Amino acid sequence: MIEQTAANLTPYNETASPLGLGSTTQDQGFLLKFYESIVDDLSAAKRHGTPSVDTTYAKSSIPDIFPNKIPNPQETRYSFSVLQEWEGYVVSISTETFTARLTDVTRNCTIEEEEADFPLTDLEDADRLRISPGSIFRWVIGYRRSPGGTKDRSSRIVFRNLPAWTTKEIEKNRHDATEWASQLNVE
Amino acid sequence: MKECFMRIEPENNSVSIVLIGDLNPAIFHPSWFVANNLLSKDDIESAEVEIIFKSIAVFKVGDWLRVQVEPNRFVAETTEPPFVRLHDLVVRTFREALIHTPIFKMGINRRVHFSVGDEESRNKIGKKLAPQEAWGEWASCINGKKDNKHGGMVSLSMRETGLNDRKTGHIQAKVEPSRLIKNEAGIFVEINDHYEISKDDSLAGATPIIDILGEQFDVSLRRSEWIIDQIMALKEKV
Repeated sequence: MIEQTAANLTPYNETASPLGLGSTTQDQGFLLKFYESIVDDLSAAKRHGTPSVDTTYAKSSIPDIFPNKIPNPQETRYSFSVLQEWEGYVVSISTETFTARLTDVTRNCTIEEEEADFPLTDLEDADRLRISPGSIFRWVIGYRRSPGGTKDRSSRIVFRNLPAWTTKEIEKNRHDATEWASQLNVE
Repeated sequence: MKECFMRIEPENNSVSIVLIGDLNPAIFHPSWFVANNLLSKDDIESAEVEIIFKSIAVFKVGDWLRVQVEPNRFVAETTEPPFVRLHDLVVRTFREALIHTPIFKMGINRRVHFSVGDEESRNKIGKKLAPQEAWGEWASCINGKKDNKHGGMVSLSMRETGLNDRKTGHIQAKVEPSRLIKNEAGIFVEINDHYEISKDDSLAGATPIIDILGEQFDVSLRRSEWIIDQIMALKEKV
């Protein structure tokens, strides 16, 4: 593999992420598309003599609508590599800690196998206010690496904002529950 | 799905969800997400709008979220695990607030940059993936004549089709030299897990694609990391 870049001969991949510094092929296409879309809007507005997008009076000029800086790909920031990830739900809460049952996501487990206590001080302020028995969260441990290359071991707890159940999911859960209940009867 | 650990710790990680459909970029402002209870007021304090215009909206929230919307494309990206937080946001956005938005294609993308230790190992991996002999008489010229620079593989893509878990779509892997990792020792791999539904199905709004996202997100990331691990394994074979 080499250091230089080359022209893009591969077909445009619609749902691939367009924001990568690492990509020697997609940056150019993305930026071109980005600026073309703005220029198209500008020239269309000029042709048809349409007023500013806003209904209030606003002085519009090209420098106003271009971003101050080109979108910054996320690769240049801190990165976090996961060593282990669990999904947990809160069983009980005391004044200083909370207890949770954990499922190992990294090992693709589906049954809770572990129980652990966590200090409430490990949580972000917003999460500390909304924690309640039954709350679901993800706990990751891994290495946090700075853009300069230094890394340290880190742990992070993030409470999930789960979407509401869909009819399809409720039906599936009812079906599963019925199936499990019938197995219990057999035993 | 198989249990998977990537055998080399990536130095840079990201996950993005790309949706293709009919969108209105101008509404995608951090305040709209807060008004619809999709982001918290704490999130908006660290939000930074790059541009909100009728044909493009770009903003980021702290270090965990970057959103970019164009009339036919929605991209949400994160570099911060747990990546499931991105899934929760996108699913809630299109299941609760934008349920009638026609969406007909989706990509779940996993990107990593990792080091194989030195440039020599990377060159060997490049030649293993794309043998230069196949280029005939030109092969002897590819390396060039300068000591400090040489030619070789720039970008290689491989696609899997005919998958059982979707009517239309594919999994595509791309391997390139990493421009982020120093000493020419890095490799960049991107996996594009691509799903499509018919235009008729997309008349039901965002639901058909978002249901797929809900079911496939974790599975997709595990499979992508397994594919990436196959490339990482080449370090032990060259």
